[in-house]
Amino acid sequence: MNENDLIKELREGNRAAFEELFDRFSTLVYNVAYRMLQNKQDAEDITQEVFFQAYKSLKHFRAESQLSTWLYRIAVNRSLNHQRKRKLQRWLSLDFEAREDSAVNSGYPGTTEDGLDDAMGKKDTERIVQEAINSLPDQQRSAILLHRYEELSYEEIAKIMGVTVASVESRLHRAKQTLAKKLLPLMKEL
Amino acid sequence: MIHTHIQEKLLLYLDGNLPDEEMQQIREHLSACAVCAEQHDALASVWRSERRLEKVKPSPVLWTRLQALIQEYEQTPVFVWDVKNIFQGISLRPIPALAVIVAIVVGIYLGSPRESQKYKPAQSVSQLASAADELELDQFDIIPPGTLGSTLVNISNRQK
Repeated sequence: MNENDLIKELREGNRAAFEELFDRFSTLVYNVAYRMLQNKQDAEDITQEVFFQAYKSLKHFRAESQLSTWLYRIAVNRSLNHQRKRKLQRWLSLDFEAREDSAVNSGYPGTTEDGLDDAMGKKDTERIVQEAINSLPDQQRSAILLHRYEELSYEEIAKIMGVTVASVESRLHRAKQTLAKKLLPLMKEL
Repeated sequence: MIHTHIQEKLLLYLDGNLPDEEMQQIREHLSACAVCAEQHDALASVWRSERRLEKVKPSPVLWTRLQALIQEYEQTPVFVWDVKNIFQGISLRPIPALAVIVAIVVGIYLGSPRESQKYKPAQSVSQLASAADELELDQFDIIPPGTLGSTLVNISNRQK
């Protein structure tokens, strides 16, 4: 089913079309959420929220963008909101030493404890890069994740984040400069 | 300084995100500077290899959970759903911190003296006299002369 037909069916409330939507895009949404939150359970919760919101809003979907763009936008916003809520809850519960699950311990591919020295070395570099990305401000982090891991164009990222292409370029530029400064000293540890 | 300026642009260089002139300048610098060239290679191996991570599928039960949620939504009146969502967002975890804050505020309130308990010195002789009357000083205590107490009694007697 092409996207226009899928949208038409979704607007009519066709359940099979909704299942098709889920099959096509659940992996995409899950991976974006996981990249942003670094926690499998949170990523699944966000994925569920994204598709639930999509279900409630489908009748009003205006098809001004692609379905993937629309779902990316919901996923990024929900992930950022979830992260802010989690920080606030941790602060309010006086739980200042709470640690988040890291990519190393959450079963993300390439981060398991198994494997040869090469895999262990790869795990360390992934962890370092991911930690460096996690330390970026929200908007820069979102832009880097969408550009690097989802391989989206500047135009697509601009539509997802609701900003201009120039703004996306600026965020990515600053993000890469910051990442270079953070990563270089850490490379010496490997 | 030149090295720092080059090094912070290495990721942009690796991704080809710089103007041609700047790309050329960095390329020339890397061919001449062993330190920056080494850092370029280290970053390149990390920055490029990390992208090869596969996409992960979510758990198979996610679809089942989503269907259950949609079914619950469809069977619940809209206003009930909205109210439920408001309270669902409230987590119990902030309660310990809020309890501490409330305890501090209550403690400050209880510890501060009430208006009626606050001591205020008498502002006039009549107030002193009524205080002496209230305390019935002339009836029970022998007050040494020349003391504040005897003065109070004298004032009170004159008032009468």
